[in-house]
Amino acid sequence: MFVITRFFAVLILSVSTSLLADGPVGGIQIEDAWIAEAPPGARVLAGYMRLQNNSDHTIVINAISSTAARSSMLHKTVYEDGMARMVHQSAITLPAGGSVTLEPGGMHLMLMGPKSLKAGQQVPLTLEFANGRSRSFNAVVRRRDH
Amino acid sequence: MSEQLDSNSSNSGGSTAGNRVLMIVVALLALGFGFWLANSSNSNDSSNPGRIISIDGASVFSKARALPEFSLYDQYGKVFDLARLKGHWSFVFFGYTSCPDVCPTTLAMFRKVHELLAAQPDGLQQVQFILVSVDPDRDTPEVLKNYVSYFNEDFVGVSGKTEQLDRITRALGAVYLKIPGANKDEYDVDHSAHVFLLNPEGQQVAILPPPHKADVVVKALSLIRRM
Repeated sequence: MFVITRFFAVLILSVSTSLLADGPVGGIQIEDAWIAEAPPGARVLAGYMRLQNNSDHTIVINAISSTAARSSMLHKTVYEDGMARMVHQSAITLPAGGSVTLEPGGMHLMLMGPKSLKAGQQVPLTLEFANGRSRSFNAVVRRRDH
Repeated sequence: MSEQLDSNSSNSGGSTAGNRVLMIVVALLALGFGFWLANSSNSNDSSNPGRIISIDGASVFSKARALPEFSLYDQYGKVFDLARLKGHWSFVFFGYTSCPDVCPTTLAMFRKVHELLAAQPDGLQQVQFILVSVDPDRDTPEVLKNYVSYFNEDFVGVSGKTEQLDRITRALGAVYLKIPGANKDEYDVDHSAHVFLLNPEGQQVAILPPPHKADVVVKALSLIRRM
């Protein structure tokens, strides 16, 4: 029984890993995707991740959406004259071999009207590409740790 | 330590050394103006505005700057005025609860500073952490209570009427600006990203520019406490 359970665990692991890696030809790799836990009733949540383009062509992401929120936007925090401004990003462009990191104090995914989420929960997200294709994955809810 | 701060700023999305210098210059100009305002009502010796000393990236005033009277409310609906600043070292941040990135990042940093101070003998004595919401329309006392207590039960959430908020932002050299959004309930508020440090007399003693690192903030506080 234990062996069978382990077999399935390994099978599930290898399937999910191959989904993330997008096969040997490359494509987009998503690393460390997380949603910052916020106070209960928060009107907005922020999501962060690292996106790596392993392909030999430019990849443009028009949106990152989630069924766990009413709407979403790509934002960048910009510090100007000591003031923090939120600048809407219409797309994320990843050149061949390039990467972009969404991180606190920088580029981030803003989820508006989110469901109440607790640390440890998985949140489905979808990358929507300019070519009309999309890719779904999960981000984990995590407490902000300074 | 300055190397550490520089490496942080390069992480924050294209902030160059030039930008950083510009940011500091603008911040100092704003502070100078605030100082002039405060000083003109507080001191006979207006010819001596004091010096600004840089400690671990923080701009520290050799001469503390008094604040004007103001009247805000806290997360329990109680009056929050100048008297509430007395007897504490106050870390003050201007933000709002619908802010997805900078404000929770700063409050998580405050939480860490609180943890680090709690580990020191008397570290937390006379220290308070205050979020001043520059979005009073949405940030009612109840919303503020929910928000700040998530980070720490001891944190203070404050807001109030625009003219009262403006008294304190102007005196400290902070700024904010409402940016209309898709509809009237969904908007952003651009705001100063600095943390302001006030002494137990309720006077401004330092300004800490972002990005903030909890251990650097703790160190700056302990140096300023001994000044």
